[in-house]
Amino acid sequence: MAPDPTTPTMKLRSPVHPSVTESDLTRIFGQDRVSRRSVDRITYSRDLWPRGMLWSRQGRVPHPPDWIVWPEKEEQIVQLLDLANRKKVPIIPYGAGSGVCGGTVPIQGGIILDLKRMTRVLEVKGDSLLATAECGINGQVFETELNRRGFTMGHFPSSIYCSTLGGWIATRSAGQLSTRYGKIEDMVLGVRAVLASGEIYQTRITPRRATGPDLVQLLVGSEGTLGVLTQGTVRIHRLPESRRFRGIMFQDVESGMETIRQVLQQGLRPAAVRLYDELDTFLVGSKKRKKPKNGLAAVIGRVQKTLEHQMIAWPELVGYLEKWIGGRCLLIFTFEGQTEMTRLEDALALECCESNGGRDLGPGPARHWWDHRYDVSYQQSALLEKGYFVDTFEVATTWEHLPRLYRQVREALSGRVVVMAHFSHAYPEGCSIYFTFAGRGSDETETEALYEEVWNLAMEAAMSANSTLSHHHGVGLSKAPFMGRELGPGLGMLRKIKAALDPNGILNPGKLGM
Amino acid sequence: MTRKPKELEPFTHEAATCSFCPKMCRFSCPVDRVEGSESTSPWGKVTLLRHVQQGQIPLDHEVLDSSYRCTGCLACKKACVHEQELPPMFEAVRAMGAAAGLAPEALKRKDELMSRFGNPVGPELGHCLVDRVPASRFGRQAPVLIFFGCTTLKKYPGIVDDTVRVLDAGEVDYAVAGPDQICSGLPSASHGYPQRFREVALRNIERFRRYPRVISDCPGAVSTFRRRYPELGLPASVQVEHLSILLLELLTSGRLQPRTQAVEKAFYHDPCHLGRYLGVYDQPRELLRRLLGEQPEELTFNRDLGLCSGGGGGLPLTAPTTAKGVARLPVEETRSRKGSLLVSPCPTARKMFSRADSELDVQDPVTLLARRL
Ligand SMILES: Cc1cc2nc3c(=O)[nH]c(=O)nc-3n(C[C@H](O)[C@H](O)[C@H](O)COP(=O)(O)OP(=O)(O)OC[C@H]3O[C@@H](n4cnc5c(N)ncnc54)[C@H](O)[C@@H]3O)c2cc1C
Ligand code: SF4
Ligand code: SF4
Repeated sequence: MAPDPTTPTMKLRSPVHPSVTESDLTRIFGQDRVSRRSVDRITYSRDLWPRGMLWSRQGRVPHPPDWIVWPEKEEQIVQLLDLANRKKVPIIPYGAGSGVCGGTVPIQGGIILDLKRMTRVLEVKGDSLLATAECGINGQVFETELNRRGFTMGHFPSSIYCSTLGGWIATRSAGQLSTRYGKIEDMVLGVRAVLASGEIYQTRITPRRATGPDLVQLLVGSEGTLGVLTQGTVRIHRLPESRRFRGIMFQDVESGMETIRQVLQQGLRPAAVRLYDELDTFLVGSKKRKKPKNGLAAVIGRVQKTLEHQMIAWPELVGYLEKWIGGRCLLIFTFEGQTEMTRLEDALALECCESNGGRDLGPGPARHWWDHRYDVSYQQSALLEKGYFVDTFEVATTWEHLPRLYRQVREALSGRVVVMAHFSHAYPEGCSIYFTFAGRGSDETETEALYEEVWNLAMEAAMSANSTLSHHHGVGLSKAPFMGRELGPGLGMLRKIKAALDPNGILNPGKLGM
Repeated sequence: MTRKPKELEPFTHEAATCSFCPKMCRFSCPVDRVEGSESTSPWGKVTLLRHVQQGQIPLDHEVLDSSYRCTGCLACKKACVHEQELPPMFEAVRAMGAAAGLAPEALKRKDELMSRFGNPVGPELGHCLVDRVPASRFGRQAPVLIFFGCTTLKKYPGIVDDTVRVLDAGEVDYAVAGPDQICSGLPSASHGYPQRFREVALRNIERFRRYPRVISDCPGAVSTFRRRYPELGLPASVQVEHLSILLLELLTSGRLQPRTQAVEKAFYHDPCHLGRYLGVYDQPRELLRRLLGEQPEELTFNRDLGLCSGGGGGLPLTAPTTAKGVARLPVEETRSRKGSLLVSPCPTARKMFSRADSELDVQDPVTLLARRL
């Protein structure tokens, strides 16, 4: 029978845990802060995990939450966890849903606990360079508040506009300037959290402690499985006096990698380090030439645009193209801090680049990246609208394995999807590689199958090159099946900790491989 | 209603762009900052509409409710590299809701008032004008037509007195629109009554034609005249400006020489329709600098990303608690930074700020100027 043209097609499953009633929740949160409306069950059913995007495109909602609640006080969270323990109902802490691994998808139903009504900046201490805020605060709002007072947190994930302080801590995130300012685990000095038992854990704020294992770090990266973060205290910095930019072109990705290694091992600490492989360099270039002025540039721009689309539609084309676009890998550095220091760091880094065959392009390319550093995050819609999938994964290994990691992942995916990469988040010991891949099948079913196949191949290729599965996006659902191989016996330890802290398994079940 | 409403077809591409976007503009959205709900973030509101447009969910009360939760402040456009303009999409949906009889009662009542009196309040607005403006100012020919907004007349008639005083002191040759001609029609457009908006606009345009310059104290009216009226026939020869521009002209030309009088920590608020819609950021600040003797203090979010007052898009009628919450953001910042005055050249913003904190001194620049003559 043909579908009724007037009947909407989306179906929402009934709540998985009918034992929780509306009055259970309104008693804690009040009428207006509790919802089981369809619209909310739809919008909270996915985060930015690309698989969720495919569901949305297909008009499917496989995992709607039963309820959504918005606490405004910690005490409400304590009461909710008490209810959840009694009724054995999952609680899924929710920041801004910008996670890309399905970390907030309520696969077992339950209650979404949205922290975005807890957003106060509680304290900014200029003398000790510390700031404390509630965990639901939006990243950009927090950073702008700090900037007005003359400070920066130095944490700039590409999702800063659409993620929260709590999400950053819970996913162990890293920002674009991590080489200078560190990752979230280096920044967060203390937290306040409601544990599954309803107890409050709060760190005493001191510069360091040698009083047993670091409990803050147990919660950093816990992805909502061990506690609900309500406050974070982070290190802040005075706004930098100067900022310098440098772009260098290398002939191949290996010389770029080698240069980064030498720069980092010399003790230099650029704020941003980004090396683009040949395809990424080509595409970065084509974005830059968006509005070409003269005729020839316009033609080149059009050819590049067409090629971009063709490549994603026919990934085999990339192999043929590589000769044409090869021999150009862009490395950019930014430096921040005192003027004398940045000048010196820039000069020393440039010297190192040139000794490895790099060609100085001046500040232009790095400044362009800086001015548009979040733009790429807006660009995936066009491909998704046309039926493609796009995903990224960020792996990391030590320098000796890095070239193999890069090669292996590319080889595993090439021909199936378009894959490109850049190297960022560099350390004296190694570096992270950020792969982006896009592709499609002939229909939604094939597209989803291809996505699944490619994801597994990528994980496999990365693990066999001695890489971690995630440098900063976290695990969520997408990497959960691989956690046994990632952690080995460590996964058992993690599960025991989880069982001790959350015996009823109410906090974000199914995530982190638990 | 059909499963795939054709009214949403023109927005197919925009809807997909937001729906597959990682919610990048959300930090700028005042409603999102207050409600913290995925369904009323810019992304959420549009994602739901995409599902409606694709025939996946019905356009019901819940979806409509989400679409009403937009003040039309345009902050999201400034935070979006695609420069997506979302309010027209929400207006289209509200119009569908109104046509289907699903509009909230408060909006229906406003439309009734618009239909009877040409303004969303009632005949008392005209009376207010008649009481305060000499009769000779109405219907006369002059180089400048002054158009007072309905919030001014309802809540702040003192602005009319101050404006008249300032213009007379500056020897400006002006006429005043009214007493039957009040309201740009913007409330009708944003509440989802495009036909009513058209009626009001056409009436206004007919009268504006005679004037080289139309000046209003209401940023919403100015942006409506500038952005929406031309396609309905407002001739390009009619120059439309906000009152603050005229006031600054009077100062820079030397026709008015007010004394400078400092106010301890005066904050300036960028009204959405003056700033984001028309790009007017510097002139009101310069006006204040001349009146106060120093630059006004800046709120943390200002200019392109300035905070909305919560007064637009019918939000005070459809979601009053949220609207108040939005107004509270700049008010609380002014308080916490020990500001003694919040200046906004927008009567609606002033109303919203005063509702959020009745103790805070909120003023229009024209009043500050009148006090310094
Ligand atoms: C365009 C784009 C760019 C990105 N760029 C980066 C990047 O540069 N660096 C980076 O590290 N990541 C990046 N991410 C990933 C994502 O933004 C981060 O993981 C971010 O930290 C998630 O924050 P959130 O507030 O959105 O958390 P959510 O997505 O809401 O949640 C993520 C996980 O944290 C848990 N959680 C959230 N809040 C709390 C809390 N208060 N208490 C306990 N658990 C909680 C959730 O249960 C979930 O498991 C990017 C994502 C996108 C879409
Ligand atoms: S308006 Fe722009 S930034 Fe906001 S959700 Fe839509 S596409 Fe994304
Ligand atoms: S116009 Fe303003 S209120 Fe409306 S969605 Fe955009 S930012 Fe939010």
